[in-house]
Amino acid sequence: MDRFLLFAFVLAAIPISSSGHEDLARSAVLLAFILVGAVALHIYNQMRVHKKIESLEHCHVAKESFYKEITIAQGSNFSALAFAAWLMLFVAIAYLYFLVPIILPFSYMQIPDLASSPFGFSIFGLKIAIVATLVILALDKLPESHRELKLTEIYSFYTISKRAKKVIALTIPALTISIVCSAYIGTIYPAHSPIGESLALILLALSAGTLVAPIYKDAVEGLR
Amino acid sequence: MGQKAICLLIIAALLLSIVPGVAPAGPQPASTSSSGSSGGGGGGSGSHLSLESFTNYLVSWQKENPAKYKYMIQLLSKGNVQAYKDPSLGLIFSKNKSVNRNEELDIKFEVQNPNPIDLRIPLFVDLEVMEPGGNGFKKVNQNSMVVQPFSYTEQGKINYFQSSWPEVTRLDQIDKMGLLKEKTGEVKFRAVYSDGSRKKYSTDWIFNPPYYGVLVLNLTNRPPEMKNISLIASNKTRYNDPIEYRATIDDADGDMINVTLHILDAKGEELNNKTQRMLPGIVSFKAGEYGFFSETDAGKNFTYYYSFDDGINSNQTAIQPGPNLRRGPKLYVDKLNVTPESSNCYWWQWYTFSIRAKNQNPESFDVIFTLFSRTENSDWRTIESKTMKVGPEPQMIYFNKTEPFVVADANATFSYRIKLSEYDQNGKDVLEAIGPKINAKVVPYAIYDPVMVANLAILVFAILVGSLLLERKLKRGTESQESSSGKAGENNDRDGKNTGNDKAGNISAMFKKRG
Repeated sequence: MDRFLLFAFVLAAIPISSSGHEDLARSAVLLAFILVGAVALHIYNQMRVHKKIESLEHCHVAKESFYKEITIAQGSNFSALAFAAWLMLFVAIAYLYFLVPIILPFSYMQIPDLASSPFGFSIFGLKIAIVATLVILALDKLPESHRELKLTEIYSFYTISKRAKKVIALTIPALTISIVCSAYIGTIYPAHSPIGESLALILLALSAGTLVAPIYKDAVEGLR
Repeated sequence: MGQKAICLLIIAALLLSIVPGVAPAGPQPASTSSSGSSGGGGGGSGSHLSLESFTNYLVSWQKENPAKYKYMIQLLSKGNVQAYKDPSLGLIFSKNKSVNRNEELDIKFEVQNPNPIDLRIPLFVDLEVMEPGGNGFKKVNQNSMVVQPFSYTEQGKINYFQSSWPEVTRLDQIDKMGLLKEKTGEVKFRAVYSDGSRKKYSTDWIFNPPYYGVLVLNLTNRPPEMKNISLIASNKTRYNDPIEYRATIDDADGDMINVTLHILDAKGEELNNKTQRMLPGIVSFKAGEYGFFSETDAGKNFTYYYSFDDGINSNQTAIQPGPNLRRGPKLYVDKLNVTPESSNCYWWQWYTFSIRAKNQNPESFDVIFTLFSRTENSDWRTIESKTMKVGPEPQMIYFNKTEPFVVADANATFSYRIKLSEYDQNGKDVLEAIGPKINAKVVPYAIYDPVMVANLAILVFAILVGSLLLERKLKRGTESQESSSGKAGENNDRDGKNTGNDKAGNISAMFKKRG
């Protein structure tokens, strides 16, 4: 079994393990931990490799040169799909946790004009996607010495198999279903649908785990 | 005075003791002779007169020469009575002598007493008034002002005292005592004092202003005036609409005024009148409070005028037009109801409101029905208004399939009301009721609704297309490849000048081996 998938499932299992309506909040915290952990591990991975190279070469290796040589182009199609997957991940998170007031006291439902608008859902989702895009593009403007923080190049630092790429691409339909489930929860609000919430959470967690699995996999392998 | 008398008695006793000739010739009390050296029998030994002997002298003088005895006693008690002079009394008034009943008068009196303090006696001073056309003075103040012998202020050889009667400040107070039957004209004042046995009047002396023996004031009255006459009523007034007659009444003297509103019919005959007693200001008569009009007055025109007086002068206004009462239906309404589109009562659904109405009279009239609704979270909103002809036959008035609510009304209980352009059988023009609670559901679409499908399709499509376009622009999927293969080409911005590293190729080769 591909270790990539193993990592994806293990990571997804963490937020999914919290079941029940009240535990949606806990799942949000766990999901946040996984994503923040991924950022931290990604930076750690690059530092670790950079130090290893310097120790092997017995000299100082500039970060710009290091990043230039270490990155691997993953192809335009995959990059576009990965970018779309990340955007959809943020939208799915917003739909699950901010569409109805489950965790926070404010939500989409507290903007009555938007909530009752025929295109309120798409407007809400597109606003989240635009904000996420702007943040990603802002990170893309960081200097070359901080290329590890650019989300557009995150997979360039890792060796990703074709199968893993396919799995990452599959997160788009998974996240789409998660968004649909969350939208369903929104349409029936203030009623609840435990099945809809669970399905949205499972698909969201699986997708998030899949998207950050290369980072965790590399970190674990680097420890050996 | 008492001290003086005692002094005189002691002096007299001393004189008696040293002058033998003044010794009484009458019979002496036994005890006097036995006193020896006291000289009881007119002894010329020069010894002093005892109290007992002096008493015996007085007793014997009283019997032997009563006239002389009386003079002596008077002399001892009052001093030289013939030297006593009557104090003078006058009124002081320094204001305009033309006054109205509400003006502050400030009438004072002054007593000048030329006598030394030992001859002065207390004086009781009063004020008297004579009404216009009257033939006698009457006392005004209830409590006399008392001038004590020691109350005077000494200024040179003049001893004077000034004061006023605190309860006499305005003429209307004197009027209230019933002392001014005539309300205008000359009012005369004088002062009088009494020393217990005699009375003296201020008219006994002649003075120059501001002092007066008789103070003559000209009591005037300024009549009240009315202005700003208005009739406050709606444009097409019904008999039971709020109708207010309002005017401003002024009185320069500030008198209490009687204001009477006279309501006349179309022929000018008085139908009703009401009076208010009031101080100057705004006078208001509300038709509803006084019951000026009834149902039978509908369709009639009326006029009105005011009459007013201050108890002295009276006046009246010209006849004013209004109100012109219009005819209207005698409405009977009931069965106010609401029917939601479904029992779910979603905010986006339609609601049909209805009310039953009829005219209790045989005619038909146009009646305006206006529908309002509100929730706990909002104020009254006008939903719809319609004009219907209401006749004697009961008819249902419908507000069909209205959409009165917005999303903010979700999960709130709503109220609705229908306002009528006429009053109903209870005298009200608004009927109100509480509707069912609006469902808490916010989103009006199901997930399978084409609108929702379109929403999500647009969202996913936009993200996918946007991502592809961004990748085309950024070229992150090919840039890294070119860099790593040493074909960076135009992307020289990544080749830091200071980071040129000879080992770069080695690192690249190493990672390629790893891959």
